[in-house]
Amino acid sequence: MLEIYGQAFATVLLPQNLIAMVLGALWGLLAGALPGISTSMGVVLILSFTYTLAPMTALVLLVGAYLGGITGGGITSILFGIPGEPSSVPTVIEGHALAKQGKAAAAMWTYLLCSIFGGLFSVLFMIVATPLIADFALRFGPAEYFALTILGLSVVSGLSGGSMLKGFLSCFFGLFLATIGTDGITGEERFTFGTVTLLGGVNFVVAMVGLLAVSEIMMEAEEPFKEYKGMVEYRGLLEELPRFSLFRKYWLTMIRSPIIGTIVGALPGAGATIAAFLAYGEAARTAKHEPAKFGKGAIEGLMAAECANNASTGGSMTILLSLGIPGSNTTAMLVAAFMIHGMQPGPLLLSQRPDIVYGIFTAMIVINLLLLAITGTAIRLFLQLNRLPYSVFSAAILILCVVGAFGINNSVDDMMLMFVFSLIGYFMRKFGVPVAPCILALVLGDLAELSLRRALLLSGGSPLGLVSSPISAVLLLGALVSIVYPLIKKPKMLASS
Amino acid sequence: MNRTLCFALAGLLAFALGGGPCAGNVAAADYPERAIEVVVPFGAGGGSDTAARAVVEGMKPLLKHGVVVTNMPGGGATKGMLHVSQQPADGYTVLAVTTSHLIDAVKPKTRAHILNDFDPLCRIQWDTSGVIVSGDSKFKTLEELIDYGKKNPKMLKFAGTSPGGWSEIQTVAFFKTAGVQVTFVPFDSGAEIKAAILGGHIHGAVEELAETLPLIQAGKLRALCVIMDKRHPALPDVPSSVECGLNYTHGLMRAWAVKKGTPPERQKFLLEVIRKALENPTYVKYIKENHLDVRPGYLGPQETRKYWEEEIAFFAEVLKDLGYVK
Repeated sequence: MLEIYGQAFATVLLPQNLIAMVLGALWGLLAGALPGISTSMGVVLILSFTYTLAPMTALVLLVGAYLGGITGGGITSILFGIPGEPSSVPTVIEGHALAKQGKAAAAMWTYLLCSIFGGLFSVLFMIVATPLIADFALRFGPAEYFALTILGLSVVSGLSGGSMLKGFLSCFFGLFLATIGTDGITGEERFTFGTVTLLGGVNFVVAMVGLLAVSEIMMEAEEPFKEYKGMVEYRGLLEELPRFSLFRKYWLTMIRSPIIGTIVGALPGAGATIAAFLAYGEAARTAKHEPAKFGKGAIEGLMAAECANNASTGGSMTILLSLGIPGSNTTAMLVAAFMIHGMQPGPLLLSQRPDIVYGIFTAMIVINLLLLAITGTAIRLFLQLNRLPYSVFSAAILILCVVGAFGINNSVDDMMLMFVFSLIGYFMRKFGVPVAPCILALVLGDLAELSLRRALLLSGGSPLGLVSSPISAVLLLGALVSIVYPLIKKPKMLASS
Repeated sequence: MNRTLCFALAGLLAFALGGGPCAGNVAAADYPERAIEVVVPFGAGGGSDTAARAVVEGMKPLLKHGVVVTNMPGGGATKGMLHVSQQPADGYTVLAVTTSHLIDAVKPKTRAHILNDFDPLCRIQWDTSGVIVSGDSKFKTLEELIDYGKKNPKMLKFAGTSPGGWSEIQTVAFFKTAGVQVTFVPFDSGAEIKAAILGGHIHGAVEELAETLPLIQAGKLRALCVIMDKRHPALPDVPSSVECGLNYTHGLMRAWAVKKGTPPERQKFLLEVIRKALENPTYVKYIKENHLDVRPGYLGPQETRKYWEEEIAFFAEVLKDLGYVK
């Protein structure tokens, strides 16, 4: 075993592969940081350059872009409040709030260390337990997916800030948004008003850029000529690095989030975004230290989300390499890369090309370390941006948002939709309705509805099918407890609204 | 006001007005004078996208100004088709057509019609599907599966992707030919379907073979039959649908088309370039590795149109049965 990994390291560290990994990671970070270029799009854009490369070099380049993309989403999220990737929305909510409190440097370092920790954790988890993760992931059928999404939605109470009523209002609005588009079971068009833009549903990135980033700019614009609140002096590496005690304090989150991330990442219907939200939700639900801080800059939420979305890469790769099933959009692109080079990812790959499989395992370790070095070096540079006056800064963010919304499908309609959502977000903020539950519901709503209806089709319409497996029963019970418990504990919350 | 400046501006204006159309006329003579855009109406990385990109790789050396792929996913495959139908018919925008466009042509709500609004260039691929169940399924042969299905109407649950689309049509139509009523459960992607079959959550799927082959060869999945007139070279032990006594050989097709009214000489030029690209060694290797060469895919423009008409007639019948069209 050690010998195999020794060889794999030797291959991966060949100069051409090392260069490929660095370039891939840099490109991925850029794609991840820009809201208009998703990680999967980033991988596709360089896919055509890999035709002429050696298979190993091509794959480590693309894996580099994949891991870089997931990591890069956090940068713009914390600094600008724009989610570079859907999976970094919780990072926007908590990380950007921290940045506005002048803790941008600490937030950046925590995000980076947690990202890399999550990534490495999942690679090691995957090396040790590939068959275990794959088997467990396969036990998720429609009923289990449904239970998982309900557990995710039940977190609303933890994200609602003061008023649970407003939290649920926001959540149900998100669920409504999720019903727009082509019905996944009957193919019927719902709430599309005959337009083509809405046939595919409300684009998730469009909605969250509008709701989160642009609405915030509108809020801030009400106070003219002020300096950016997040402006900080960067003190020195040693002062800025989070203390070890921080991680010890939140040890449960640090262990639980990568496990959630790895498993959810291995589910073909879920992925990094749902992983991040679930881990974030779990952290909010069980927060011992400062539960009230969630939504207003809780470092624990940031840690959970970043651990989990990076850990999803390991889960996704596990199911890809062991069964040939892509666990996410981006790994689906990697299937194409394998095929270009005459390989089929699947159960036979390990016996046919062990060099490739072990090579990818080791490359993922190396890439995570490279990402730590690259992003770590750049943090100081990124923080310089915070010195701009907010009037200049916000204009730049607005441009990024507009280009991002337009860039997803090169669609002006999407751009318009983004502005509609920014108005909605603005009024939600004005009336104290939290935005996070709405986005959570938009992320989970589609999967929740479809898996419920699939489960009912499979059970012949009997709702007992939803709780017949131990996994779904346990998950649903957890959801029930987390909805009911706060009602019993603090009945005042409902009254206060 | 400075008189000289005025004159200079007027001169410049006259030059711009006069020179503009002039330059245009000269360049219009030789087509193509800029890059050709291939619109793939699906997201990047999927089957249609990979296929289109493989052809485009072969076209690149033949076109001086290049060729680019644009992914335009959304609304099934409607958005991309609509886009191409709204571009000028000048041969600079090509649509990667798939079977879903033929199905759209049957539906009353269709926004652009593949037969009326487009001219086919050629069919490039004709894929093969198989009836797939889990490796540890109780069904060992197609006969057993059909027997069970006949005795238990609607109890046989099969997964697919597009409700009212190709996936549902091929699943339902195949089983209808065998006299079985099946329950179709739509999922979002091929990956989810495979996971659901492997996990024992659903009986099986009627799916294109290329993607499932590695799992079949590893024994995780089992093919009960391949849907064509002969056996599949990669699965010599699996009977074909015709062998099993079922007169059903439909398969997913991929073709290229331009907007109707594109000048014939430009269509001819494009067809020539595509034909050469299909002989490019990279493309030949790609279709071999993905088993897309199992049955001949290429059809010329007239044959493609005829084939489309026949398929559309068939789809109309199936969709009527399913209640999607009245």
